[in-house]
Amino acid sequence: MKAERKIKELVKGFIDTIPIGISVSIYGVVYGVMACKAGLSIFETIAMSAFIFAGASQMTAVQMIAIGSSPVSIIITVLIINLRHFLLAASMSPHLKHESNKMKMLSSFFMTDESYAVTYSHFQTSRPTGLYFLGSGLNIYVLWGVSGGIGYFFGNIISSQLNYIFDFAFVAAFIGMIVPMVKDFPTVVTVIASGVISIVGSKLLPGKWYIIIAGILASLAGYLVSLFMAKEDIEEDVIKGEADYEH
Amino acid sequence: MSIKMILIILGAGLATYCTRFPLMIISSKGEIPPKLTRFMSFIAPAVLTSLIVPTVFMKQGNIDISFNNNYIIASVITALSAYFSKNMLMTVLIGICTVGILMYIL
Repeated sequence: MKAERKIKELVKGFIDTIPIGISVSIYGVVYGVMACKAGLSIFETIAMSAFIFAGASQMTAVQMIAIGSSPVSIIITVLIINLRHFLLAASMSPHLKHESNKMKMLSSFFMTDESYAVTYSHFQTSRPTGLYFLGSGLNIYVLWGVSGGIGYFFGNIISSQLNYIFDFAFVAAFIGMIVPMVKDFPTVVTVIASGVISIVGSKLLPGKWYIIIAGILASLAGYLVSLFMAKEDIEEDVIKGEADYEH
Repeated sequence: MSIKMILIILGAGLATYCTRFPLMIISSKGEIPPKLTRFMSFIAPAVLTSLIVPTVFMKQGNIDISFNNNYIIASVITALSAYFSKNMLMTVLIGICTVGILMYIL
């Protein structure tokens, strides 16, 4: 590919991602306020965005730092939350088969839910390039980093007398992430199971391990319910089928 | 910056990158088993819930389910506003304001 076309692809990916990037920025501001209220420095706040670059994970890490979790439990929790990236990468990789490993290693660092969504839909109608994917990822990277810094600044000017109120910003932000995920009955079971296990676990387990334990057990509960429901669906279909046959 | 923070940031960064690149490099001939995909779809709601529920229901290490616990009422209102507004910033603002108002009137 010519240099000019390469730049065009990169820029196109970047520009196509602006609309979703703006909503990411709003989320970034919330992260910045949280990081500030949790006592992180501005440098640490931005370093997290630069090295981790994953929204829910960074908010989780900040929350866990605030409640005094150990580094190991924070890293494991972040790893678990990000397992979904495997799915995104697996679905993206066939489109980028022709790219060099270097390009794959580089562009995958910048892969987020958002840049994946923009790029994947673009690749349905246009020739896939690693540069488009990279440009899209860079857009989110820049906006996420900058908006985190802006949020930190807001956090700083909010009076510390209001800290009790702003502690709730954590809870509110997480509710804002969870509610859109609750789309079916198995997810309802997951959320309730996780709530119960985490309360019991926080009383019985040392440190903050209840977060990981509740995360794994509740996912399993949701998964089992979904299996059970799938089975019932099939049985119902069979019964319906027989009834239709009789008519 | 403390050693602990450096460890957290670099460790979490490395862990995150290790979820991003491997399946990009290994061209996926064999797809991920659908059962695993299903299981993984429950991880995010499970972990995110376990992070906040004790904060809401526990006060000084004890379970507090009463009208004195502002966070419970505020959480319900926040969840409703998340459901209807589908907007992160709006949800957080409504949540914070609710706690502020409850603190003032109770």
